[in-house]
Amino acid sequence: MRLFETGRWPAIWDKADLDRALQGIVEAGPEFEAKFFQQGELRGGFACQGDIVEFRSMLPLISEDGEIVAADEYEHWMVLGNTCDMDRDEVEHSTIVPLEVIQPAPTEDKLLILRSYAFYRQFYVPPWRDDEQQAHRMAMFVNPVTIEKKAFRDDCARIVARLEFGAWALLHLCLVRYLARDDGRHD
Amino acid sequence: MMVGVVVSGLLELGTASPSPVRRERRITYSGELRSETSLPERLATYVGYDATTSVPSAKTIRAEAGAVMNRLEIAALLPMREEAQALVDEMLAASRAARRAAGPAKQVIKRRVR
Repeated sequence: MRLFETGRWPAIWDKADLDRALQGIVEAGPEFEAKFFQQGELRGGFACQGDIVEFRSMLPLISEDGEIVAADEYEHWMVLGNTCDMDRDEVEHSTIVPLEVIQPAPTEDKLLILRSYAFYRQFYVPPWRDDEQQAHRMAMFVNPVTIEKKAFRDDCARIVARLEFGAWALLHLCLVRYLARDDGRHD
Repeated sequence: MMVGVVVSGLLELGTASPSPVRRERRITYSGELRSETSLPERLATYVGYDATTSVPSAKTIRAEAGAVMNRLEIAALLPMREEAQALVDEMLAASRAARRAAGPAKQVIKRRVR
């Protein structure tokens, strides 16, 4: 089954729509976490942008010595690659970023800041319903990794949570903001 | 150059047909690809982007990228605060230090070949 036969997000046409989508999540207060993730059953095997995948792997990167190294190990990753590319046979790869667990768990004061999304190099991910650790995590925009799309199958990279519409819109804005912010080179 | 790539990326991200792709010094249209994620396109329209058929100067691209941020800020959609970023950096540094104390942080996969 192809993803786009199963439904799609409604379009966001203007600023008012965007504001509504964001207010639903950023101003959710105590219901923030409940509104962040879809509550129903996930359709397995087809990753969407923003999905949380369980996939124990080290982070591949080029070290300060120019060597290819495997750095810290992560259990969970977020899909940043575009959902529509998942549906295209000619696109072999997607992009994921590791989810870094915040330890010790943030206090209520710090949670308020995390839920404000006023920082820009990471994306805050609250605990999802079936998360055994009930941990607070950060999607690390600075550590993107290429993954073969065929790895998104239940026996390899299991999808464990999917964003709600408001959280997905928030992720988009944070990505745009992360890439487009002033680089300060001419300050 | 980096800003150019970023802007090119923004133009490509989720753009409906036709899909502009930056090649060399031109933005070309790569065919009839369609996106199912309309938000970036609508956002781009909202902040004043239009797909172009010629590549603007680096200065113009920088100005446009700055304008994207300005309009996001003015609209107060998601204001950035340095103190929030500093707090997050501090939290993550503490997490990383605790994790790395438990084991080696890096394993070499391939040595550099000069």
